[in-house]
Amino acid sequence: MHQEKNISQNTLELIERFLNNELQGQPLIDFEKKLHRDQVLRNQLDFVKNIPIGVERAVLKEKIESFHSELQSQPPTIKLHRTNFFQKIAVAAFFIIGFSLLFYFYQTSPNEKLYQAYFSPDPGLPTVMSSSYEYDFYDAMVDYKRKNYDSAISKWTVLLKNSPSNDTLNYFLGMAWMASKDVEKAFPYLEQVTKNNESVFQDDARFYKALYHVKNNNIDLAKQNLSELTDDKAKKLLEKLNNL
Amino acid sequence: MENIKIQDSLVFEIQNNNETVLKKLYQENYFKTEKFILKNKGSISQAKDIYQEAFIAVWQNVKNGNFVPKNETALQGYLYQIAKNKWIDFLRSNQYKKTTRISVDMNTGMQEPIEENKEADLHHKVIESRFKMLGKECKDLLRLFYYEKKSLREISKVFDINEASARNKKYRCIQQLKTQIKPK
Repeated sequence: MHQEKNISQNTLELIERFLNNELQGQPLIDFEKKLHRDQVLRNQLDFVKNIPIGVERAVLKEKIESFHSELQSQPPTIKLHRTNFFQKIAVAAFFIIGFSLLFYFYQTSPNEKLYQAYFSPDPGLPTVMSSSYEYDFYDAMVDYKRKNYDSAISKWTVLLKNSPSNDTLNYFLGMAWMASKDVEKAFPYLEQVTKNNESVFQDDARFYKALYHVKNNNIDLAKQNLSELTDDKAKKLLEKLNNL
Repeated sequence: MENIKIQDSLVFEIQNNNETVLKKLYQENYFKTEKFILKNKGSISQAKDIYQEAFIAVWQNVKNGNFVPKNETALQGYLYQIAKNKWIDFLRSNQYKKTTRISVDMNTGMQEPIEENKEADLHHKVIESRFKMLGKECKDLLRLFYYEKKSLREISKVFDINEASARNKKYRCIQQLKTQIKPK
């Protein structure tokens, strides 16, 4: 891009008329002659010619960010596609859980049975942002969703060093440890999130914390956590614990 | 005859940045690209970046007349193809040295879609980055004029000024865009 800084209003409007094919007859001939011998004018023409697309690209990029964020919160057509996928997962999960339950009811303690019945890892976040920090976070999220929990844990642990109180990181680190069957390592992360009243993950973390207590036979602590929750799943588990 | 009408209308709407048309095109085709990229060693974040680059390229090619979609399906196919090509280019690039093999189904054999001229693209990017640094008033004015295709008369009403003032204001904003002077 050229270096000449100023362009007069008359020159700008003359160039715009030329680009819009509004110059005719002698003014057009004069302009073309000047263009032929004047490098500065050619540079100015080059600049003015590129303004519309440059501006439109900048605006469109802002627009598509907003299209994308809407897509994540309420997928319009893909929803069906995803639903089918998740339906398949749900059916598969139903059978797996069903068989697992049968097995555990014959093999394990009542608390362990409840833990197994009620524990399923958080499905993860679908959203993606473009900053490098968020790139790293969602890169690990892909590992998490693919059940590569070790890889997700190592990536999120690095990020957590710079943001030790980040509730999303703490929550998913807790989830990843829990999903990789190390509930003791999961606990401090979940504990941190349950203390954060601003966190959208607070209730979920509390539920998983309750499950941690169930697994460790601390039924009173589990009940205490569950009693603070209002969703059906928590209520049902609390009811089962009360009936033990 | 009906096809020509559909084709003209689609091109017209894209050239005029019809928000409904662009949004529908964007949202209805994203997950297909995401699926392809995730299946081929990519992440969700990379899928988003590649798709957005492809979307801008498609929009620009339709605007420039480099691609004339016969219908919506052709446009969707073109968008998917550009996104796929961009991802394949990335996998083959130095940036992605770990790749040892690209799966066969990625090589579609389809003709490479025409993308924007590299030199012009560079100029557009300079303007684009300068636009982002403008003040709100200039951004709004230039957005209305260039993106929403409003006339200076319509813009003068939005800013509650007369048409001549709108014209002068537009000049000053373009001058800022050119000289990169930050607004006071």
